[in-house]
Amino acid sequence: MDWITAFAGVFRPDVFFYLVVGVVSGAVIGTLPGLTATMAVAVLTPISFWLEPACGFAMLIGVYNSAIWSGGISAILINTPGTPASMASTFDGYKLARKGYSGLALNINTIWSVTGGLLSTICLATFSFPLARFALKFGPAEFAVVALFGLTMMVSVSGSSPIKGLLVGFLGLLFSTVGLETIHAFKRYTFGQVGLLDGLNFVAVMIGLFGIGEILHQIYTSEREENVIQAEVKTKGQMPSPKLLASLVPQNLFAAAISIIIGAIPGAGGDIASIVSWGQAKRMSKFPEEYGEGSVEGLSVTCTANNAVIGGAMTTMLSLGIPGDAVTAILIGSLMMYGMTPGPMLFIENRPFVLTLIAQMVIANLVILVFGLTTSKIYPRLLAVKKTTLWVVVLFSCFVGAYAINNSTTDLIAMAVFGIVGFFFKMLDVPNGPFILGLLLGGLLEANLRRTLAMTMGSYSIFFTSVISVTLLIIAIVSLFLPSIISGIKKKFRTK
Amino acid sequence: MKKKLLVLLLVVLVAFSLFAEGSKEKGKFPTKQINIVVGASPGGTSDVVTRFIAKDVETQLGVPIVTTNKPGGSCSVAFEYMAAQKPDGYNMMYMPVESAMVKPLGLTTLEPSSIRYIGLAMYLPATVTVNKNAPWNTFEELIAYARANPGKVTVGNSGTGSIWHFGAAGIEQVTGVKFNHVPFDGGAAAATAVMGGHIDVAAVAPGEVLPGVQGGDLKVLAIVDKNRSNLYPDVPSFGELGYDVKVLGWGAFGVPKDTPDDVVAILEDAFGKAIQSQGFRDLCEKYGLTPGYLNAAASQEFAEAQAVWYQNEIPKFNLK
Amino acid sequence: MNKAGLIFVGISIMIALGFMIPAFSMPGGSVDGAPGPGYFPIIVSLLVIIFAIIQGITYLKEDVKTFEQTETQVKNKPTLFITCVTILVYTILFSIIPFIPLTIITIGFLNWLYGKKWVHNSIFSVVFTVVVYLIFSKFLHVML
Repeated sequence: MDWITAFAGVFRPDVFFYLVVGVVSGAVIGTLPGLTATMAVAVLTPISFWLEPACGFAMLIGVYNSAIWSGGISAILINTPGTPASMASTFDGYKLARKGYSGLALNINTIWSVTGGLLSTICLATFSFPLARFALKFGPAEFAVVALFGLTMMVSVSGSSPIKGLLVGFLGLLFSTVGLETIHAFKRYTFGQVGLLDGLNFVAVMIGLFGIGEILHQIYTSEREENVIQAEVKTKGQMPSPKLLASLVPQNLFAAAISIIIGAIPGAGGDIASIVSWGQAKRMSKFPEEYGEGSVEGLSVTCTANNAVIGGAMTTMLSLGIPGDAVTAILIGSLMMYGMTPGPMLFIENRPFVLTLIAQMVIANLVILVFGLTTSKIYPRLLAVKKTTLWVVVLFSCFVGAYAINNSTTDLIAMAVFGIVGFFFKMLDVPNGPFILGLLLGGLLEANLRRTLAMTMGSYSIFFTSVISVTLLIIAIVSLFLPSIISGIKKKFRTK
Repeated sequence: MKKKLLVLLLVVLVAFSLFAEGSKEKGKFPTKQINIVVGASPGGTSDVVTRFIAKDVETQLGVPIVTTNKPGGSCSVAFEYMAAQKPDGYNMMYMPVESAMVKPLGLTTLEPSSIRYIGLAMYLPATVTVNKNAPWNTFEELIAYARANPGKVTVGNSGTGSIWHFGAAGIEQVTGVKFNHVPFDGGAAAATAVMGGHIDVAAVAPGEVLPGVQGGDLKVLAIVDKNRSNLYPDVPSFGELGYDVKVLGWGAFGVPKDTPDDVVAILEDAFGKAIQSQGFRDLCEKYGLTPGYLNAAASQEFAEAQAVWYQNEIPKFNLK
Repeated sequence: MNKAGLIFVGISIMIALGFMIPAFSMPGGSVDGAPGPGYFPIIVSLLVIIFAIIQGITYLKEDVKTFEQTETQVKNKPTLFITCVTILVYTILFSIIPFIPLTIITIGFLNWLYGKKWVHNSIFSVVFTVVVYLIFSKFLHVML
């Protein structure tokens, strides 16, 4: 009965209106590189205070889900992730678009993002408490192991040359050490620049490597008068067939499960979830060689992953009052502004409101599905301009986007420098993925490793006594070596 | 052809520079949007307090007030930015306790005397919080245990050199025990680690442990303030327990140093009203902040005195 | 031998050394057991050097000329170079020159470089800049 009221509440004209407003603005902000979901929610939060809680939250929930989904659009079309969570969608999405399947890629993004969002909402509605309790078990030691596990993905995202991938991956780890570190508050490699105290901004570097690097590469290699989409846009096969979708179900259920847990763990978000899901799916896939070359399967798992994180993060936020990621940190602030404190009491005192939130998550995802599938034909058409026009538009969107993250010119310069680095990486056939992964996970690994050692007075034994950490270490080692062992065995059988 | 282009560009440039300057009326303030910079990420206490006050001041002054976040280096990034802005009253900054700490920490050369404070809004006490299953039910029990086992109690703070690191060190000083300090990325992360049982104590802001306390996962043993907190009326304060309060967080607002007196007076008045409003007092109660207004001159004096204190104390903590 | 690859490997080793050498003079671990700030950079830069050497050996054995340019690439080389310089100059001037004039001039210059007609160019650069400015500054409150 509660549920019926909750769902009926979302269809109140004003609530539904603000939900749609949220979805549309999220779609715009999320598509622009540098304007992350965090920023989208932060911008709309003050506006939401003018509305009553149900309307205000409808808007914020709409923005949050939609910005994560639409980050994949720019990842697919211009190789620049709109939000960090869609980083892994560039690996296959952009390749698909270059082959003329941009419509298919966009629809895959929409369908699986919505699936991920819905699956995670079901988790939120059914077993939020046990899940949040489990997430609490991740302390510094477990975090360090999670980061280590993430780093084993460097091999998966390296493409054809694992050594090259590991080399740039470790370079990324090295660059993650720039800035003021939390454990001893020591300034490393900042050269007296205040702007570098917080280190190299991950989003800015990512926009540079992927976005600017790609544009520079196009400037170097292509004829100027060409239109953007070289390959003929295929008219057939843009809407995925039910058979295709059905074949993707197992991998995506697995990706959703991983991502919901990662989302629930405080401090780990969509960026890590999508790349881990992609790497893991590649290891388990029947066609790992297609990954990174335009695999529909690879694209779909990343899309599922980044939206599945939302439900996980909301779970921790609502049931424990702890932010699961940067966006939920802001949502906690706005809940408190409305006079509600997230935490177990919220489920008892404000149960109708929690149900309304869950209903809004479901409806927001359905709105995204409709909106996404109907607009997927428009986006590729936006790219039917001269290449030169697109270059300028993408360059300047990247500039403003990188600056907008923190209003920092240091971020902007870092983006420009890594843009040029990205070009050389491309020319040398060096993969970007491992570098970004190293930069992303370096801080998490180092800080938590040293934090653990500070806690245990320098003893490493905790890594082997914590059940979670041992399990993760075993999974990491097995999944690192299993694919090569299996293929080795297969080869042996074949030669016999 | 190119000449025409050049002319067109020039015309546009001139038009825009006129547009950007806007209406320049002498002797009237404010006539356009005021920007407030927060040196922390959205969603935290600093951000919420600033946005709340800004909304009130907006209705008083009748111009839009826009809050922007420029996080980094314990507010030093925003601090350096603000010190270089035009001193016209349209550029303001939220000045947290860290503004008195960044110089002795070696993060920047700026100190409270490099800025003009226009009013202090509130104080922020630390709470000594433990897991509900912890063997200690009072602060005295915790201290007795810590005294018997020096360096064994793990105390989470919001980062080495952060306010709550000194908060925990201040507790060590007045009680004469030795903790094992574990730095986290922010106070909420430390509170989470206590909830998960990874560390023993979190000495962080009241709002950061509130969800855990309400949910029954955490218990607060003491408030590091002279008086009890409205948020935890049953928890004894340091004042009652007979200890000195060494470290207290606070938040104020500031403008670049050379902002004219008449502009400062207008801002001081508007912010003073907003800070003393019932609405802000309610917000403080919700977040466990201690409301306490100081006017421009008093807050300047307070901040500079704090800077002297940290200048003397920070080297003793042997950070580097 | 892959010359470009070897240059990349060489730069990687230089970066690793650049991180490693200052790390040795960073303070040691504190009494409570946490390793000092130099611990992690030293380990990682060692790993970089090891993998750079392995990759360097592969490049030495390789028999490709990576930078054999196609005709298009030779023709585009100056454009690429000027674009890179423009990007760097723009980002450095960003905090010095106000956003609108700087962006209009930079877009105008790039469009001219890419051979756009001047009518299209001037309309495009002004309109695009103003739209970006309005969206970011007025709606999203970015400090442009």
